[in-house]
Amino acid sequence: MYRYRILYKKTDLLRFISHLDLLNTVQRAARRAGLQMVFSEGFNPHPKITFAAPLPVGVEGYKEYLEVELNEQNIPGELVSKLNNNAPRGLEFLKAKEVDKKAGPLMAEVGYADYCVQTEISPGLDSSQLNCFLQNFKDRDEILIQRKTKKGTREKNIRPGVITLEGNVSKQSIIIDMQLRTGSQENIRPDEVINILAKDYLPVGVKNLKIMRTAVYDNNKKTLLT
Amino acid sequence: MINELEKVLNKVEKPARYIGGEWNSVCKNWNEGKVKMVFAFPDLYEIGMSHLGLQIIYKVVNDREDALMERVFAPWIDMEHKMRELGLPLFSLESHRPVADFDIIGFTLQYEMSYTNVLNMLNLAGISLHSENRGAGSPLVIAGGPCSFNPEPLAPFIDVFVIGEGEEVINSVIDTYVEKKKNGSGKKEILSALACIEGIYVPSFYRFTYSESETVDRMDCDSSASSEVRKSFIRDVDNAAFPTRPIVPHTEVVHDRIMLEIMRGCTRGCRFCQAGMIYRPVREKNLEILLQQAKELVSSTGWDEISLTSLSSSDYTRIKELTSQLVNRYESDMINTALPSLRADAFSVELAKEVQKVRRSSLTFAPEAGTQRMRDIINKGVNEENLLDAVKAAFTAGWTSIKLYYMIGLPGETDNDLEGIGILSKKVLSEGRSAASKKGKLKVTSSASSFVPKPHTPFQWEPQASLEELKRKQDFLKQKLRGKGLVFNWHDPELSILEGDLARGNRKMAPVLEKAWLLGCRFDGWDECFDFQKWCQAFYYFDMEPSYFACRVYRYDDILPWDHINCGVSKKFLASEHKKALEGINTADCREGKCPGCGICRIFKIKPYTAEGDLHVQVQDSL
Repeated sequence: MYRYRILYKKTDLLRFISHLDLLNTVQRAARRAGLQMVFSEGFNPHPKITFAAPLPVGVEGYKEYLEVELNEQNIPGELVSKLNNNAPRGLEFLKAKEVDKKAGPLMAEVGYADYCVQTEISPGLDSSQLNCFLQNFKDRDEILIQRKTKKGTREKNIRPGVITLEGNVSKQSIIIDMQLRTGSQENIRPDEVINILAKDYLPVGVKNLKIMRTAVYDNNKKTLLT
Repeated sequence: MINELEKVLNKVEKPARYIGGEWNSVCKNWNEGKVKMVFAFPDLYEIGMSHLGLQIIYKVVNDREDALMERVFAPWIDMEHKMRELGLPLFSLESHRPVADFDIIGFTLQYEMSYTNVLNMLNLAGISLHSENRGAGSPLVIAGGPCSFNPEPLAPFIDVFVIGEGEEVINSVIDTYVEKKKNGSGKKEILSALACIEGIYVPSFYRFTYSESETVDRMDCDSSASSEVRKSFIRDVDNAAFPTRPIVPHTEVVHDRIMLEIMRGCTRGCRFCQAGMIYRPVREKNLEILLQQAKELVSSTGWDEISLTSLSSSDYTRIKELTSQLVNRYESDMINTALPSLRADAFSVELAKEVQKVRRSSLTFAPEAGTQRMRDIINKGVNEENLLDAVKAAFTAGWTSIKLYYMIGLPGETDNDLEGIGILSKKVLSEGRSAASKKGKLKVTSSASSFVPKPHTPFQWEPQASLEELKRKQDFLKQKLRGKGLVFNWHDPELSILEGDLARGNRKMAPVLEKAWLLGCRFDGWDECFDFQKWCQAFYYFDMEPSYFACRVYRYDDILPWDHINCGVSKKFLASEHKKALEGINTADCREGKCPGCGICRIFKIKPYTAEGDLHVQVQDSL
């Protein structure tokens, strides 16, 4: 059994497929590529493919990670090209590396992610004003939002999970870059930050957002595939 | 368009329905010289992408150098709302172009209750609903599929109907279109040329006068059209176009698996079943060809299940060999083989056992009726012993849940027959109690749909049971199907009545349909959208009762609204089947060597054939 970690991106219109759809898409691409996947035991065996962190529907991911277990050894470069030859438009595999099959789950390694949010230009707002608004947000110790859970809504302080927050106003759009805590221990979504910003701090619309996840890191803010 | 679209996609549920770009989808260069067609499916993406016919026609057209085909589905309510708000026209999935930019729009009519979606899609595309208002600048609107065997309720809206199997005749349609366009012909000339092709019906060339009983008093047709339109069909299913590189949807659809069609037609002759009549004769595909197609499908799609599709898959002559070969070849790759339409007998359970190494919890059978008397009326060649043997085998093999499909409101049905449904379901449950290992999980689900008489069947003259009667029958059954381990499901009887109106209606249904659409009806087949009151309002507007056609009795010597459409099965045969039904007499299956005389082989000079060669039947004159 061989375990591979693969860097990929999910962009363009394919960002509108769900995480479950992506799982099926990768499985089918791997089958078409003729990869000998390892299957789970039990009544309903499924291929062993795991993802670092699910992307919300509509968010592009430029440095995403998955792991797949195979019965045959593959040269990483060839694995990437086999998958690319069988991937639909919008899904591209960039790099692969064989990893220790005894290593812990990929998901548990995830700690941080960078997001870039693009929104429509708002008249009269320049970069320094924008950053002034963002500073107001950062100056707070506590920013509470309501989160829906299975047991009802719960209050959550998102401020500690927002690591960086910078903005820039260009001719066409407003761009806000942020680094957020991501993963199973603590997870802040970019739209949660944007909704608070739009409500309390910024005169910008949140209707036509384009959100990109530009990187995913481990708990030491290091890349997941070197 | 893309940019506008992206903004909308952020705000609708399941945006993957609208993005296109799926594996094996084809987006050809958009240039002059190609005939541009769009396949329009008048229901959701998840339904349309489960339809094999779409994949077949898509392949046939895109295999041509001089044509291209893209796809469009009915946008769900939220998407329609956004599109109208922003003035976004209906667009194709491949190139995201407005549907109005195409030369030909081809609708498939799989279900009467999608007709309002046909109108809505034309409207969203910015195309006039009425054929007569569409000039040279408008796309040609064509429609095919089983419902086109009674095209009349849609006659004013559709330029050209394709009657029967479309994969060959579509080439003649394109050839003719190309030739006529080259000559600079107008719409009228194109229609006249198309009307000469077998299987093509141009409704504007026909004018009808109806009697008080809504049957045909007089039909006049233009000189360029024939007074009778024969269906088109595939003579050689082995060499017919079959998509071995079908589109693989990004998002989960209803049938998210390989669909390997193993035969066309069915010899059983159930008297309620339209498909069993209009897809005659039976034509089985060659076993080696199927294995080759399965191999190509597995490597081109990446799907992990092969479904053997047809109207009655356990009837395929070499089914045992086929399933065991597929299981042997693909089991180790974790690819399942599935049989979706199982006959209710022990043989079928044996097959299911073999293919389903992983036991799914439930198995479905369709006894259709609760008493032998009723099953004889409908010519369902299954008896209680067959069914009980089947469920016993299933419970012994480890299945814990059985689903049973019944129909209510069948011709000649009495409360005794309904009582029989309750008794039969309980017998099935008690088989489970004595045979199953996990008794606590036992479940028998009985679903009762309301019978809708369909054109070109022996019951085409029969009135549908009234709404009140259907409701009473349902309530009666609810009482009979109570108890631990029993579940009863039923269908909306209002919906069935409207299905009956559209199925057996004439051209007078068209304005009612248009009115219902104007009042806001769409996605009528979906519980969350269906609004019976709006339909009633549409009928009342034209001084008609909401069951105007559904509950109508036609007579044998009437000219029925669809009699100019010839499906190959003679009206004489249908009438004789109807009479035999009323007497409870069965008709033999032609697989058993005795020709029932339906007429299809005589009229089309063809013989039914199986995977082992021609069926040895002495063809009888049509009755």
